[in-house]
Amino acid sequence: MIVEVKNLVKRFDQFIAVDNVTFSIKEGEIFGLLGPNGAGKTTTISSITGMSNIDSGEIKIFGMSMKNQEREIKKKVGIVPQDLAIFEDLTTYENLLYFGKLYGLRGGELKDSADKAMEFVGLLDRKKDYPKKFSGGMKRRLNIAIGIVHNPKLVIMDEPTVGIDPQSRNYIIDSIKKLNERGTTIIYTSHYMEEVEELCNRMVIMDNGKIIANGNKEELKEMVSLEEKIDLEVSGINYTIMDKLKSLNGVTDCSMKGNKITIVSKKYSKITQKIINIISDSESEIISLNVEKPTLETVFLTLTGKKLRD
Amino acid sequence: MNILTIAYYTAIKYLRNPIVMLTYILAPVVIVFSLTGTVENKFIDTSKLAWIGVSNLQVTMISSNIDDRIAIVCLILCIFYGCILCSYTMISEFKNNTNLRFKCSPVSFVENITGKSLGNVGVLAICTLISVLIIKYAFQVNFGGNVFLLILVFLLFLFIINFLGVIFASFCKNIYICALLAFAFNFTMIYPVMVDTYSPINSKVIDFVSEFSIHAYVVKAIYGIINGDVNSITSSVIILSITTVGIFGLSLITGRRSLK
Repeated sequence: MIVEVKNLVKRFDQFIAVDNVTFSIKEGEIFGLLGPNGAGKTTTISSITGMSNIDSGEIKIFGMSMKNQEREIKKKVGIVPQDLAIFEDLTTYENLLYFGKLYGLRGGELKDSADKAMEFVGLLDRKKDYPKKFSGGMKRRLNIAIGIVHNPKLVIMDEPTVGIDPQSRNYIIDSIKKLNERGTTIIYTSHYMEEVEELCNRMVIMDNGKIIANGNKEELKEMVSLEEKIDLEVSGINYTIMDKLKSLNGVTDCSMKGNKITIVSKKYSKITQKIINIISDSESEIISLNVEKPTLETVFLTLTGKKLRD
Repeated sequence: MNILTIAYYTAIKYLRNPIVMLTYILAPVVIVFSLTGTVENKFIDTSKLAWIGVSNLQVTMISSNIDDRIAIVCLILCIFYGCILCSYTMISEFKNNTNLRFKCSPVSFVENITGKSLGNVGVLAICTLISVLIIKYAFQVNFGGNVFLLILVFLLFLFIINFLGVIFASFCKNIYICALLAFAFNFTMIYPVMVDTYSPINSKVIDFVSEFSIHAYVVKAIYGIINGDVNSITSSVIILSITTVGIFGLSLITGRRSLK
């Protein structure tokens, strides 16, 4: 395990921001940390990165304790903060050299790492430019480059795609995938469920400082979905078809509006093929068919009662 | 090495803002230009001083030309505002979130404060040197005496103002309040020196304030260096050194709160 968090508690006076949180992250994973605002994600991340002291519990990173070997751990961890953390008075290259040096890189190794980080985020051709001239997306990319300039084994990304255009977001998502392919373990928080679904192997959902769900996306979806919804558009619907559909084993609801039919069935009832057969036998034609599976957004909404962007 | 890296890039950031440096260099020059020659009697009448009754600080001023004294006091007054620039180096990192990166990096807050202080003092020292040279040669102000001692006194003063800047920034994290604090502090500290320069009088209040005035000890040390008064130099440099160490300690205590 690259990260082991056991019974982590962090209080701010009487307010418990993180309440007995336990999770672990394997090497090479992209681990998602989800939760609405104020759930305790950033406090958890701050504790893992050593930015804030913990009240109780234990954090082990690379098998080392945060209490005793903070400096050694910090050398191997990269952070991409939620808010841009770049020096606008320094060029792209100088920003990378500065932070590279702070992580102990020197000479040719430092220059190579800076060049690779710039190339990685697509800013190599802008190395001499000042970030104040950059677009929001480019600043975000520089923010990432600074976080990975020292080739960390663990990168913590706190909502790295907030407030940028779709093109830059896609670029960043692809970069994160490439980074992971190179063997880097990533802790990723985001408000965008589609990003988390696309990127993360495993995730925890936090609410009110506690972990309320932990697993991969399939496991999480299993936790909340008991039904499946099928939307059909059919030409030539008649009541005979509707009666046959309603009588199918597992169907809990079947309604018709115009030429559209909505069927709600129990999960794993495997009725899609039966529905197609009934409609085909009655000489009607299926124009479209959509099986609605639960998304992480649904999972999140069910577990926390809030939308992720609330 | 981290200290030198932080110092280097702190200095680089100053160099990228030439207007700030130019203002810092020219402010004392302009004020000295405005104020020198405003007092008619260029040389102090020592019999008048004896009649008024003089403080310790005034005794070391006797043999100095009044324009020289005004120039030196104005220079000290202006370079003190460097503490706002030092506060700004800290506050700008709170504002642009780069302090988070320092917290996450294997750099201790002591290295961070020391590095920034070295960078700040280095740049301010260069600017002060340029101001001194302009004032010395353009207004014929006497900066005679031991150059190394002069540099030592200015460096101690710059370190003190830098650490004060760190303390102000750690407390309020707002550059406007830091500027206000710096102004209030500077005014209180320079007041007894200004009074002694323009209109020497025997006042218990002024004597009391001057006992705690960093500016008064810096001016006293400079006059001592110019006039070859070893006692003034020794006592002032010792007090300034102790103050520097004390304020450095205090800046670490307050800086720990915000940087660690």
